[in-house]
Amino acid sequence: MTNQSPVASQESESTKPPRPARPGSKGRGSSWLLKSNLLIVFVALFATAAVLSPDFLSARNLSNLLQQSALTGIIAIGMTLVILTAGIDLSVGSTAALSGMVVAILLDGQVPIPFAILGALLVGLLVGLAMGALSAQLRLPAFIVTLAGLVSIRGAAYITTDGKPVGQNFPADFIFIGGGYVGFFPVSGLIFIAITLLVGAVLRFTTFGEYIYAVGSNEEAARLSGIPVKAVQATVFGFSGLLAAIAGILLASRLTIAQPTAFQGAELDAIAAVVLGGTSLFGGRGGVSGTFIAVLLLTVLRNLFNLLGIGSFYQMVATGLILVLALILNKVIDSRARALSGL
Amino acid sequence: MPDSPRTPLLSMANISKSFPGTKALQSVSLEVMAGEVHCLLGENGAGKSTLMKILAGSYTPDSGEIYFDGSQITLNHPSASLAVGIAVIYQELDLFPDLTVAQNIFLGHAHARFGLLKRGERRRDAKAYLDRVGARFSVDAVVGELPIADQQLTAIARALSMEAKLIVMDEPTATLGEEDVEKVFSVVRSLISEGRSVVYISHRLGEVQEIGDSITVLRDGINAAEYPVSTTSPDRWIRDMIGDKQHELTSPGDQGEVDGEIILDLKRAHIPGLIDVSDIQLRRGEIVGLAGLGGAGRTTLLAALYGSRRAELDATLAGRPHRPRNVKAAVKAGIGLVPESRKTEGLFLGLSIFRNAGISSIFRAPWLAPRARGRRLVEPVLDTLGVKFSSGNQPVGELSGGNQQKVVLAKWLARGITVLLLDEPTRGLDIGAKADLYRQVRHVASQGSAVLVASSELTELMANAHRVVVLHEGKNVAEFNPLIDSEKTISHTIISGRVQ
Repeated sequence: MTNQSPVASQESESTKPPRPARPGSKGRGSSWLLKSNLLIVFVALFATAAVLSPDFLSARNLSNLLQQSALTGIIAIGMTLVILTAGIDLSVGSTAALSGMVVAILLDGQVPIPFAILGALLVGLLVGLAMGALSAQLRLPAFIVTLAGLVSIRGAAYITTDGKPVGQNFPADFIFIGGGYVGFFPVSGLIFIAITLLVGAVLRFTTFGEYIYAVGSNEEAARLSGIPVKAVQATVFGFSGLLAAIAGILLASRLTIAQPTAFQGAELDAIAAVVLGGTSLFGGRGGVSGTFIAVLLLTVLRNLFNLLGIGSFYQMVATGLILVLALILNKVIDSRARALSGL
Repeated sequence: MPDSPRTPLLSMANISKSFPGTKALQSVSLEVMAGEVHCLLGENGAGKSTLMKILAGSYTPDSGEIYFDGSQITLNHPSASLAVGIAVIYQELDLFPDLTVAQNIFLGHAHARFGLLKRGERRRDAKAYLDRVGARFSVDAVVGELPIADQQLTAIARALSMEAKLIVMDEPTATLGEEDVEKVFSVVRSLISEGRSVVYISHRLGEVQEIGDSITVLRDGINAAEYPVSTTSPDRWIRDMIGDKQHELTSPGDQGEVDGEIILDLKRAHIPGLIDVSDIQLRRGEIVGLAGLGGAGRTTLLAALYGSRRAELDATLAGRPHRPRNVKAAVKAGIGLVPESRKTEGLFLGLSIFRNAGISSIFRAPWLAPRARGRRLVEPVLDTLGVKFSSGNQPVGELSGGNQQKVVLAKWLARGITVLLLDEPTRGLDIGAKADLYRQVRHVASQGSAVLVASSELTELMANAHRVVVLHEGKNVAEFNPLIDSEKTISHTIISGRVQ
């Protein structure tokens, strides 16, 4: 007996059966293409806007663009981290609102600016960590945990002042961080850029960044490699909460008032930007540079609509359609690229 | 092997582990000496994987003790196993498809200071480990884009990079070509020469003979035997693996002539550049083997018949023209396919056994109470096939490979089919499960269906098929009768495309 003849075994071994790639494995090459494709769309849109409206390229308008991108952008950067681990955070809008309320209330109570900000950041961080730990430790779906967060944190934001806006006399120094300018650059826009660079560096140059990709790419393999999977998952939610808090503080500063109704639906804008930026909802693939460009792209789009005088109802319809179109385009380019590299 | 003073590096004593409904391991022991290749043999479901998962710290045993390097250890987390020097290469290759080769090799123990990666050093060392396993692809390649054989080499390089004292290799050669198998062997030999130990799991007994020093055989969750490789024979190993069950793969086939009516008459199947097959007839009650090298077009031909791949098809099925527009049409016409990768294409691993087995039948009219109806339908089929399970509501992913494959079969039997297509149905199955599967396939044929089975294991086809059709570069070049023609003749045709 043997289980196979030598010739037959040679036959089965000397050939590499064409196996389908692992599910969810797409090329880094194609994701680069995806990203630069987004960049091309962005540039095209930018050029169109410049041609259609002479006001578009004015320094004022450009710096407005950056400022308008900043808040959603900062939230979207945190969202990128969460989505890279194959999670989702629906609570960021509520967290941002709550943090804005906290900083305003503290400032109204004559707490020094740094401590007021720290307090608000801490609230965001702890809220995020709590949801992340809950979801990771008890293996609850992040979607539901953060959906619950969305509701109750929003409720908490209302409770702080019984639903009333808060913030009478913010110190000028505080107003500067959300509404001030350095030269032409809005401070909040600079903060957005700094956060993007920082998080990009963490993802690329640190072991923690690599663990984020690893957990999103193959959670079981990450566990078997001795990576603290649950700690990584909890931490990215903490990050997301922290960045949402920053956005909340910046908005309170810019408007010189904090409202519990702020950032309604901000989580969806953030998710849209992350996905448009080429980060896979299944985790493991993508990064903050794509998110950064996508956020700017969406802002330019809105700006363009405004300059053209298109009503906001039409804008909503068009934005949704453009999102879907962009995804279809990405998919087409992606499969083209794979067909090229695969054959 | 030099006869150095032999001390056990690893000693697992009286390990027991139960899962709901099954006792996976009952007081199993395993002793691995320093500097040896210890082979772990057993059928699928014998408990090898469970034992190795305990060793990896992935499962916690219910009872038993583990000694490693002279002291008792507790392995309650994968990082605990890695810390004492145990590295496991899993059969399912637990790699990160989105990361590069270098990242994969060093993930979890990368060169870093204060959390900052040293990417240059990592690339350099990753290259060194790739060289050691004889790999020639770039350390910057994304793992998910590599062929499966290169992924296997990456997994081995990863295990080497952990500089472990004991390395477990679970079916490391299952997906490799001959040249790469040699690479794995030389890696194993170099590990041994450094005084490390290897636990080697493989169904290819020839490899065990070539590389192994000693053997532990598991059967149904207990120790069946332990002996050195040199003083025993594969026949003995097989006896111990399958116990008193018959193994029919090795006995000459009892397949005679079949004179049922022609049910599938394939005049021509043509996909430009891929396959051009003509004149294959399948009779009721007949098992026809489809042999050929990888890429010869076996899978493509099956896909064309099954409607999952567009082809110019000139065929009749039970007298009617067979030109399925899609899978649904083919299934409706009475064709069932047992695909090559059962875990991704054949089964819904998370769904229950009943639902998997009933999935193709319960959506037929009437659309009422599909679950209860499905259950009534599949229970007798699962029973006939001898699927072992504790509850029909158990997820099918919890079953052993052989039982999973039977559930795929049950899916089609529950529906009722006239032509059964099987693609590499025994891949990853042990000898006992293979024999059992073919017993069921013969039973299907005897009920009046025609069976077309593509396999790389010619021995299996010889023992079970009435005829063997050889495909070569997309064309059917010859047809053999296993009772008359020798395996050698057929193998020659498989490789050369010509009849001797």
